[in-house]
Amino acid sequence: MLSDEAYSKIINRILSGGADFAEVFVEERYTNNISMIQGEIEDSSSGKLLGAGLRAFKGNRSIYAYTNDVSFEGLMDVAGRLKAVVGQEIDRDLALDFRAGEHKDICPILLMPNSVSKKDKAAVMRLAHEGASGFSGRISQVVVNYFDYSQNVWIYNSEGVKASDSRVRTRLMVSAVASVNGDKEVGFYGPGAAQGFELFNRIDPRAAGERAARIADRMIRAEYAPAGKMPVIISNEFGGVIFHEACGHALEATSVAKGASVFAGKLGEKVAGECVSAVDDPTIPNAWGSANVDDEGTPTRRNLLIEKGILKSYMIDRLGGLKMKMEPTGSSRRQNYTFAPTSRMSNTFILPGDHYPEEIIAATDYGLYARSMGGGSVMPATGEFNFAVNEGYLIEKGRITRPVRGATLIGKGNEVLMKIDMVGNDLARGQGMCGSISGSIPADVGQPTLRVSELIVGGRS
Amino acid sequence: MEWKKFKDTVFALAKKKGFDEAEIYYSSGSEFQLSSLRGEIDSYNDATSIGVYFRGLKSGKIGAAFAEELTDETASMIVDEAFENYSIASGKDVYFLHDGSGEYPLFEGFSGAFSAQPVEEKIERVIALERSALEYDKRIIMAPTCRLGDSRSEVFIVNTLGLDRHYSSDGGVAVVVALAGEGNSKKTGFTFTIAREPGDIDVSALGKEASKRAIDQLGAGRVKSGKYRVLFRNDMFGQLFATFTSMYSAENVQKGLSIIADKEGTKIASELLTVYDDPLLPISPNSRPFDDEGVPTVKKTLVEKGLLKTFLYDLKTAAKAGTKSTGNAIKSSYRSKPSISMINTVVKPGEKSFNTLVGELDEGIVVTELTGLHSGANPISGEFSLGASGFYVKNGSIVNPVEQFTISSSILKVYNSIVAVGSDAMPSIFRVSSPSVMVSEIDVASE
Repeated sequence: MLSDEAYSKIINRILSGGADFAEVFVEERYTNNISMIQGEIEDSSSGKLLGAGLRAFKGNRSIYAYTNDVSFEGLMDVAGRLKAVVGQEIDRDLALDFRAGEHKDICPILLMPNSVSKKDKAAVMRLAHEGASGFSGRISQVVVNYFDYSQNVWIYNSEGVKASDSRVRTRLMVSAVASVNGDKEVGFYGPGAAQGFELFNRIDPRAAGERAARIADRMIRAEYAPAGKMPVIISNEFGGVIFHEACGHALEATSVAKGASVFAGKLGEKVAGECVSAVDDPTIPNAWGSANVDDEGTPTRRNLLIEKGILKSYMIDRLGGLKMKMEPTGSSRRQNYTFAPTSRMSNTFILPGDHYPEEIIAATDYGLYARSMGGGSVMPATGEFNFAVNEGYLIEKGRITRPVRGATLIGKGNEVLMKIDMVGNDLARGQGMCGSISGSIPADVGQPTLRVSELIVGGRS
Repeated sequence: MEWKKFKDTVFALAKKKGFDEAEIYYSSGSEFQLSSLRGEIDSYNDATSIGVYFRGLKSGKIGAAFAEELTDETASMIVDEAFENYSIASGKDVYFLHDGSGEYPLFEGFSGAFSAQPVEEKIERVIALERSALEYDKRIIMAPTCRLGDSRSEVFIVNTLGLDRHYSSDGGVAVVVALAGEGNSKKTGFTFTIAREPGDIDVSALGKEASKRAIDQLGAGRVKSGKYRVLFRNDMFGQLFATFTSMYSAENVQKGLSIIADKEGTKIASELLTVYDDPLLPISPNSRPFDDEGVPTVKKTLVEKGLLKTFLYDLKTAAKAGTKSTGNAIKSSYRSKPSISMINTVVKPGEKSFNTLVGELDEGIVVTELTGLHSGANPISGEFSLGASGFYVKNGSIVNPVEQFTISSSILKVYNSIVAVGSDAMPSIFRVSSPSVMVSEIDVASE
């Protein structure tokens, strides 16, 4: 790393083009990826990313450049290119007194990934493989992926911010294929955390394998889901992807600041049923989407997004804050130095309500029970979302009767929030990778079991 | 450190470590991107990057590692890491490196035209792109995305078996999303194009088309659930087709993960379907003279009038199947393992215009947007259930826009129920060029 004085020179060089704000983000990251197919390690690769992203604001305009050359000369060169884009030469010699903010480490690590041998990582994967492949005779193919990374970031800006953070993530992902007469269904489970190898003190790899296999094994014997509008009960944990897609993305400044969100201008208004409260909380110790500071060096904080149906807050990055004339919320994130940061979710979930999940099912005469959700997507400007149900069951007369497969849920985020009419007491979170303009980042989704009074289910019959 | 010296250092270390053979893939490139919002430059990105990916081969097994700087420290780090990765490899598959033999096609993928275009001109063009979208109709609220980008890259692959090749390529892309609103209805329209030279991007036409697509969807109604004849607009058929191309990979075939595994030489589709992989397609920035194992690329027919002609092979799967690599080992980034994929997929166009197809549809649905391709489609089973919007057609004419429905089927069912193929071929995202395609029956779910 360079000295504070060097970063000060780099920042002053960017400012000398007339920029209002300048920032340097330096990242180094060690990664390991191991892939096991049918119990054999087919691919293992590892390496180191190293680079820096420099950013300038002029008015509401953002100028971003990145490079792998993190030497003083390399960064000064990029700073010079930014300066030239911003505008005319002016004399700037801002005395920057960098002060590192104080924060406690919310993600302490016990076993750093690079201190654990790849053989031990392979052993964990083998357990997951065994859990899945031994589940039933219908499981024909098991793929286990493991990855970890240790990311160190340093952030300096023209407002005197000097911050650094170390983020460690470990994740195990199991895909199990069940086959019957040439027909195939896939089950997936991928637990992860902002932890090192100690993740496996908490997560039983064999149970993770079994869970992926269970989904495939049930679904291969399922009929196609019914089609049409019906009540849908979405199970806890990864079921929270519905809030993530249907609402979360449209609460990011990325879309709100442009006015390209269905929730723009709705602060203080009722946007959801009274039983719905939701937060984005990057401060949960060792959670998959947690960090001490965001990628602009702002300390992270818990943001209450919706309280009893009333919209309370957006997720705001520095540039979004400028445009919206609001304070940043510690929500700025990026995949790595090749992306300019922007407002993103971290660990986003609906808070628990009063109902036991069994009670919600019993109160439903006919509908779909979505036990495991797949991924989804949304167009924030219109609120239109879709997502896949990986493990579904039919509810008839208040009981879960039979498995159904191939269901997709579609709707409009602002409408579906209003239709949540029962919220359970069994909050849990699940791990996912969230893709948006600043890349693919780890994010937790979560919710208790809840019911949407009606949703369009895309099925076959 | 110079690239050549770095390469020599790494090869020497690899030999000392005990690898039989070694290979380095080195890429360097730059990217430039501009976006416009309300007539001003909203973001400006300018980047340069390098990446190096090392593979060591020993007794048919591979160990790999990557880095982003060329130093002595990095050279020994990647060789050590690769060796530890090699040491846990347990698969039965036998890997090979290519010796550089074969005929390499002439490749002219680099024009330098985008790099030569002054930044001021790029700024003007992206603002013009947004303006053409905004001025199309007063119901256009904004263009949430309006972006021009270009990139150039140079790739080197060198190994200890004698392979020593490189190529340069460049190209550009334009994307615009227009948001239209009227009453309670808000709709977006999207257009996209790829180009080899700035002059190939018609900003005015692109902007207008995005806005037209948004406006045409305003006031969309619902359809009744049921079975419908469906016409996929060219870009939508391209996206749907691309989602399932992994079934042509010999890797998936050999691992039992392809639904067409035992279908080589047999009919898998309507005879109206013919598909090529054309790695030298002039328009595509993804074109290349050799794949990421250094094997020369070649145009090949995958499906000819409904018959499955070949799978796609890399060195490993080809050796296993007793055939030759088709030159389809592709990395998704410099640091990923090469895996088998199409380079440029081309669905062969027919002779009917889009409007003729709408007439022939008689009663049915034109699909102009698909969502959930990454989540609602299963490339292994071939099943899909996707969010969609489009138009309801009756008596051969468009009656009204429709939204919020899903289409569900399986890809082979779609292949087999193709009843007409348009002449309106169009490159889409996902590197597929496709015309509009009509399918006789698909399950539609809505109200």
